[in-house]
Amino acid sequence: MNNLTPREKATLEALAACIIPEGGPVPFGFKEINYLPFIEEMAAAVPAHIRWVIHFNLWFIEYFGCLYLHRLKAFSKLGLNDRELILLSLRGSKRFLIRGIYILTSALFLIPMYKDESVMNAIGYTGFKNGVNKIT
Amino acid sequence: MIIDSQTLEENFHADADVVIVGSGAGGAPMAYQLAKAGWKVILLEEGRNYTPYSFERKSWEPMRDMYRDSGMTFTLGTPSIPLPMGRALGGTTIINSGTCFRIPEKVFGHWKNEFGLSEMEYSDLVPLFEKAEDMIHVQSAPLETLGANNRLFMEGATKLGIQSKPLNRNIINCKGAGLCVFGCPENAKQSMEKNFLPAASNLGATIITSARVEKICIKKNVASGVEGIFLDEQRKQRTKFTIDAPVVVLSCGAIYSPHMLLKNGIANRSGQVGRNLHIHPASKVIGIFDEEINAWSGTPQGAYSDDFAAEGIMLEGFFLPPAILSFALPALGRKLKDYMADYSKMAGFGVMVTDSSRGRVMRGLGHFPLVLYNLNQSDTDKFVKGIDIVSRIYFAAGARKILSPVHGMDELTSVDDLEKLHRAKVRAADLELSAFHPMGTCRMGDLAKNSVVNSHLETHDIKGLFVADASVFPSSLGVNPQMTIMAFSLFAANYLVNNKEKYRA
Ligand SMILES: Cc1cc2nc3c(=O)[nH]c(=O)nc-3n(C[C@H](O)[C@H](O)[C@H](O)COP(=O)(O)OP(=O)(O)OC[C@H]3O[C@@H](n4cnc5c(N)ncnc54)[C@H](O)[C@@H]3O)c2cc1C
Ligand code: SF4
Repeated sequence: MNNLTPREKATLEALAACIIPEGGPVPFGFKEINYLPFIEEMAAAVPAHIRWVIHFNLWFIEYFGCLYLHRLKAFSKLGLNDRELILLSLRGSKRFLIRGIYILTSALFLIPMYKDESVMNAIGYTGFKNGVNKIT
Repeated sequence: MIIDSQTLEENFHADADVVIVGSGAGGAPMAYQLAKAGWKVILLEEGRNYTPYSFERKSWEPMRDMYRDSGMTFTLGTPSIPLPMGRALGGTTIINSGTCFRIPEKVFGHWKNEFGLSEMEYSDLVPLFEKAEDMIHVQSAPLETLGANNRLFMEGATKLGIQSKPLNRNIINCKGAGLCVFGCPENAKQSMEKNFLPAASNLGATIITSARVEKICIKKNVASGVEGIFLDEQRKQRTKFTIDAPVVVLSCGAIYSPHMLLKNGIANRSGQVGRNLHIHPASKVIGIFDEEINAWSGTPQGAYSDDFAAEGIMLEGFFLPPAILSFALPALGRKLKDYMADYSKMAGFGVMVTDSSRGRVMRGLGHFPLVLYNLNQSDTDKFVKGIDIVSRIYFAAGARKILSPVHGMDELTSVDDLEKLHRAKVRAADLELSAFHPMGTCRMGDLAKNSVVNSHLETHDIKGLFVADASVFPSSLGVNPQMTIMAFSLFAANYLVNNKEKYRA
């Protein structure tokens, strides 16, 4: 998806720090995980209407996420705590579209994170090694 | 022969005795049975043929290729529920979990009482179940492939006096790879493209993939064929095609068959097309234990308990690779990492509900149907009970923590916490659900005024137009549906074979 705009990349960066943070019991995070090439490759390969959903979700989070904080500021310009609060509100929302935006957006980071061999080793998932669970 | 439409000429035209639309649990047995009886069969499938499929692929590629809309299909309502469907040769059976049940006699009895079904008896279905089970190699999941995930549940259940058993599955040499829902990488799961479809092809049926039917042709209230488009690599229209046939069988599944009828504005004098949607909503309970479970090793859906089936609750095993499970867990950021650090200590079991809630399939934009569904309070209460039972079983088996699918009650650490769950007055919007079994949207019955097809699955309104898939079930089945769909489809095929004269072109 070489049509990712600089603003979308900024939104992705701001999201990554919340969804796959550094530290904690799994010693890998947004600095080690190559999420951007994964997202670009995936978005280039999926059908156009799915690609549209990815763009829409990023746009929504960037410009409307702040409504959950009752103020107007782009998501990528907010501090980490505020960003986390927004994502928690999206995740806990009872409105299906909003919760869906959270789930699909978090998947953009969690899939590359938990299919990374170092991460899979760290969490004790060896299924991918024995030649049987080839899809990681 | 099984051919991709890209090898066929522009503006393709052919004649057949029967044209079948869709190659899943409904379409494939129909094609086989009619081809065996010497009918000239053409089966059209929108998806591609993924056999042999390279499984050395990235996690999203099987989703993109084998699932409709890359797996991003949802119901609209409270709560919104992901409703994935297959779009490939073999239909949804290529990405299903391989669990096999016959329709419970009680459910069939209820359908007969309510809807007549005068031409169909349970005894008629028994040999058809046997035939289908034989074709797709149904057997009890071998204990050695169950893995600790299912064994742990069974141990906990036994402690509480709850019965549980290995599930029947359609497998040959299952290695317990745990990837059934991405297409079995071991060729162990016996989905339709491994048995009914090649057998139909060997008997002379023509099976065309990347062929999407758009129009059902009708002449003087009698079916006369279909029109549609052949798709190119990008899933765009390459050329048009027409098939003339005096019998048309819709087996597009319970979302796309009614959508086809609605789009064409046919077979809906009853006003029931698209209504009565049931989906068997399902939810998951994760137990975190002190010891390593490695739940990913072994058949994910390997065991079950139907002790609470009378209350509309089925419990069936499940588990997922970490990349997929991670975004289904109730946490974000650091907290999610804490949970994922315990991935190898997790076990998972599903709660599936026989839903009294009814949704509706409506015409949407272009090929996209609108699927509306609201979960009612009675079904919500069944979930609370099911989550309670699985949690108790896991605590009895030694779990130190439960991750529940109820918002705001994400983590339960003791049986006492379950009291909170009951006191919380859980509403539908609080639940995290998914669903895999749409049905009921072209329901069968004797009366044209309240059903869409009769008990040999022919539409009341249009002679020669049949629906053979999960849409014909009059209510929620209560067990995984693929076998019942196959048996019903064989039943309708036998009717056609015995009445061929009626449908001469
Ligand atoms: C993840 C998952 C796990 C499941 N696990 C189980 C299980 O363990 N046991 C069980 O019994 N059931 C299971 N199911 C459900 C089961 O697989 C389905 O109920 C069953 O396959 C439905 O059969 P069908 O013939 O109604 O439709 P499908 O099998 O969905 O087949 C419909 C086919 O029609 C094609 N089609 C649609 N429209 C058109 C068109 N216009 N032109 C041409 N082709 C078209 C589609 O591409 C599709 O291939 C599962 C489902 C899912 C999603
Ligand atoms: S458990 Fe593995 S080997 Fe067995 S059917 Fe499923 S994917 Fe295939």
